[in-house]
Amino acid sequence: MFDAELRKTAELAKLSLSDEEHERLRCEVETVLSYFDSMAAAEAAQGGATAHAVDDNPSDAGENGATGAQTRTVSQLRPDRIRTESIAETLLESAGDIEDRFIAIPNVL
Amino acid sequence: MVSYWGDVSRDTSAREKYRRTFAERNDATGAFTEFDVDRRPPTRTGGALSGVPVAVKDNIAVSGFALTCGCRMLETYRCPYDATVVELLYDRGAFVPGKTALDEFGMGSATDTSELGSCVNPWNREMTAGGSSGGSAAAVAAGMVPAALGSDTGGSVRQPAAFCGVYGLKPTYGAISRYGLVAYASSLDTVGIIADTPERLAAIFDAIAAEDPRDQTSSARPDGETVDNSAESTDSAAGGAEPRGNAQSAAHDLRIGILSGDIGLSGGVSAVYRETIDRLTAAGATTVEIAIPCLEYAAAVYYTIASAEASANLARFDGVRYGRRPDYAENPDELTRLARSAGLGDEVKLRILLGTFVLRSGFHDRYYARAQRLRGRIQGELARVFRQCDTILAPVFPTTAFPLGERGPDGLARKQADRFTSLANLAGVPALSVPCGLADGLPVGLQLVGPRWSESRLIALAEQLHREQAPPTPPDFPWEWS
Repeated sequence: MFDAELRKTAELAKLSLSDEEHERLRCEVETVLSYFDSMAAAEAAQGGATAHAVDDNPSDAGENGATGAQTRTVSQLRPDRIRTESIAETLLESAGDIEDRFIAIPNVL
Repeated sequence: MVSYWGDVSRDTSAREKYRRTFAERNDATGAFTEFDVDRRPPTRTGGALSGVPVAVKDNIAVSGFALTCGCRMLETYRCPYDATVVELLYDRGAFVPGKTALDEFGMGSATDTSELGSCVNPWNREMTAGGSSGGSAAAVAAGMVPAALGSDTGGSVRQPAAFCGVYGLKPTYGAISRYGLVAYASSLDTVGIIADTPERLAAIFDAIAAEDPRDQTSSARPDGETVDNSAESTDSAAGGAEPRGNAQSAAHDLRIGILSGDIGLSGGVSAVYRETIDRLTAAGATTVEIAIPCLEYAAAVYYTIASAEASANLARFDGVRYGRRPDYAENPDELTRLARSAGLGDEVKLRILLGTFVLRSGFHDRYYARAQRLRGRIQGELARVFRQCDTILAPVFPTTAFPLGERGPDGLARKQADRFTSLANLAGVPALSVPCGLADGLPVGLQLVGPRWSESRLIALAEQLHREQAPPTPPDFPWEWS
């Protein structure tokens, strides 16, 4: 049963697993997922989802007077300045196969 | 930097002794995957870190060295630029003698998941140095450098620091720029600092904690310090963060939260925990018993979220723009599949599969969404605790360093043991691992955990403990730093 799920997951993750890897990883993935299922017991309690560590509850911030620091909860933008430095050429040198200034890949069929 | 040999950054004879000792100790520990103490001598003198060698974990960009992340796929990748933290170290006069061993992409607890190298504990070479920043902790413990950078996503700086008997700081989320840190789990990742003394750790923190326009998640420090790459600003940042207060009275009148009852510690760690509570009480602190019920499921929440984010972040390793790629593939999809299947290690594949699974339609609510809701609850719980106390004294790991290989705990047991450290990452708060004693000849580290931006207080407390009783150093590796 879980074999099919693992195959589908590996396909989504762009991984090819050998038979030996599939067998070993199936056991490990199943073990860790059962551990994750222990979260269900804690689920009954209240508390909203949060996407980022900086989104901590503002009503709780700074009440002990320890830091006086405010938490920023919105994305910041850097100053709108012209920047001339670039490492684009250096980065291109890291690619496996280059033709002119393009990275070559196999044909898309 | 004055070592007992002399100034290793300028004095030729001191440098020769340093070069020789460095190579010998690396043979013994495997702390560095690549090193060259002469590669880039400091160009600036008189800075706050003038001539100080600082090792850097091999998932942080240092131009001129490799950036392998412990991954076969990146084995031949040469790093084209410097991370912001490295630029800031250079600005203060420090130099980087090499890159340290790690678990592949920071995924592990023993620096044993990378096929490119592993390292051992300088206290006992049959034991792990911890992980994933094991090389950085071992490098400091073995006296090869007085300080090192690591990364801490769920405890990867604090746990190896605790196992190796050195100081390890996981800062407030956003306090230190991550530009140049290879991403693993972005809502949890921090660059952390490992050092031989709290004073040294404070000096490095003062140098590198600053807002960075190149890292959108970095935050301004409460004192308003910012990173600006323009030359005129580079002298201004040595001023430091908030004052660390009167060192004589760091513990005085502080309310220290302590965990009571059976929290699953080994006998040795438990004994050091009790002794340290007594030391803090004797120094004038008040102890408050606190309950953190979420400790029970923190590691499950942490691994669900970290795996999910890892599966997304590591999608970039597709074999196209960098890294080793197969000689032949029929089409781009096959190229990526072959490159990843051959290039990524077992633990990384496990976490990518877990992360992909918990995000899948049909499973998302049961795993990822639930973990996010519980993360909110953990944050609320810690906020409540920080109304009862100023700082928490907690274990870092339930045991001392465990044996390498088969005799050590299995994969799931290691993950469950991260419950004490992953809390601080889930809540975004700072935590400092402090060497507090020995158990069976191995160091025991405990962590001081505080509200956001309380690094100064945590360091001041560590300084007070250090002044009273400096932690022992590994018998085989005398420290040469002054």
